[in-house]
Amino acid sequence: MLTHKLATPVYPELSTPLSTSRPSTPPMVRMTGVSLKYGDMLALADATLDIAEGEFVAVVGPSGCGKSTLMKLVTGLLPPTEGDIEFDRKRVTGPVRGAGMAFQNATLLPWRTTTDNVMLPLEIVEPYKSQSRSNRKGLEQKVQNLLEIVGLGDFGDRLPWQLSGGMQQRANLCRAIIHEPKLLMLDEPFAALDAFTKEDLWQVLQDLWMHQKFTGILVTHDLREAVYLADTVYVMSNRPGRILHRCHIPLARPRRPETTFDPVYTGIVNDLRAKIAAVRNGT
Amino acid sequence: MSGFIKQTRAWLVAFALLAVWELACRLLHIPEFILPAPTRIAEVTWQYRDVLAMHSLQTLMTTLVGFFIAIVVGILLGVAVGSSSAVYDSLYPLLIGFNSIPKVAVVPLIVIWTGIGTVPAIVTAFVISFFPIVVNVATGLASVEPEMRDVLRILGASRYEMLRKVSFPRALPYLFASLKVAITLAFIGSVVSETIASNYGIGFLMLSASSRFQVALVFSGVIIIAIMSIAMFAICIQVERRMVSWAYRSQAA
Repeated sequence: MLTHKLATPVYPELSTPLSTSRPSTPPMVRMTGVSLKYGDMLALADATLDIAEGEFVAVVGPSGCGKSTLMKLVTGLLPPTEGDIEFDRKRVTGPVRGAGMAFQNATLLPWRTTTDNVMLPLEIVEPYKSQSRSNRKGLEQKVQNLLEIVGLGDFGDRLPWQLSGGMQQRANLCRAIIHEPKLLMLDEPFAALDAFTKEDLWQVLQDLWMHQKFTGILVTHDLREAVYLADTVYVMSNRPGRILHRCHIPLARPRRPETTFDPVYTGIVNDLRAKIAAVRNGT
Repeated sequence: MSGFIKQTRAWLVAFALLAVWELACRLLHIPEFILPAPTRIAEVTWQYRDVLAMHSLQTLMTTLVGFFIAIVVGILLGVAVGSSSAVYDSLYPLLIGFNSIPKVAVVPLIVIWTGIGTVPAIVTAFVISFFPIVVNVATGLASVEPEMRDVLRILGASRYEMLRKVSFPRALPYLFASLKVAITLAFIGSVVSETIASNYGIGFLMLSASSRFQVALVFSGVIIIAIMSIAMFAICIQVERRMVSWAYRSQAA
């Protein structure tokens, strides 16, 4: 479990300039020269990236750099002004199916219990939708199993206002992945939580990811969070947002709270911090 | 316990007011055709109980029919206005213009179109009470968080699913808030219409009683309308508590 502490960190270069060479296996998400303009304002410029199946990616950058825009583009909620986006080997032309999303605001439905909130995607997405009558018990069990993984096993029948902020966010994560999406999009999901709860939830998220092996895209401004959770961190520039660096995180899984004291971890965080500072100062 | 004290206090204040009224009438010798004493009103109410019952049932009936039509039309229009920006842009200014017309001024027109009696009372009750329902349902539907919309779009939810699973439940507290306003407006509508063009209903009864200087009977009418209106209001609150208890619990948290 703590093997990564014994292993000597081997990483020739913390962050590599973006290379255009691509792996042979088709990626889960592929963006080629994607730009987005809101009116005259260029929000995102020439984004090119590949995200492999099962990879967990974090996008960091100064606020207002188009991180959330990137998310909306990948899921097809916004059409790009230029460039091509592929998800799961298909060109994205409208809202993609089979992705999960979670935001900073948990947006649980206040009239539904935790179980019923997590159940919502199962009532909408096939093949679960057609079972939602006949196999209600089975689906409830599926929800219960997931709630137990995130530590909400005893809170299934509570209403959202009876849960703390951290618990609501756990339920929100469950709702985002209950239908076993291929892609999970997270837009600063832990930004409003206190430091302890946040680190708890990093753990929860990593457990879920190792359990379901979805492809993950996490948008955050918390560098420690990005490095802790991601396989690859992308650094974005000020508006118009450009992807400046791509940084592979060589830390072993599962990462544990002790990992945050690992010199490799702190080294990467500091390196990224310096890069972002440079970006913010306009260099 | 505190609820009991609060209720007792409200009753005490009401009784004190009635006592002051009674005393003032007796001590100042106010003539009955100006302000009858509460005991006299009670006496007349009992004396005319059959007539009053007949007319108040008529008013209750027209009010409720108008109110239910207003609920149905109000929800349908509210859903249309709240879920489509095209409908919103084209209909909303019209609705606001319509709502700013004093409905009392329209009653003579309603009478010309629908005759006298029951129908204009129902129509007036409906016309006066549907607007707050439309506005509140539309507002409630629009109050769904944009994040929630994104989540649902990514899940591939149809418009109908969005409406049924998220928007409409979200709008329910707004709907019930508007029903409490609408039911009292509906009473006003039917009574006004009865006053202008009807041979039935509390409005007609009060008008004819006052033309014969039976002021105590006019007061009976007022009190009965108040009681019916309060009762309907209370029923709305009870239904609201049952249907959208979550909206109240979350405030308590």
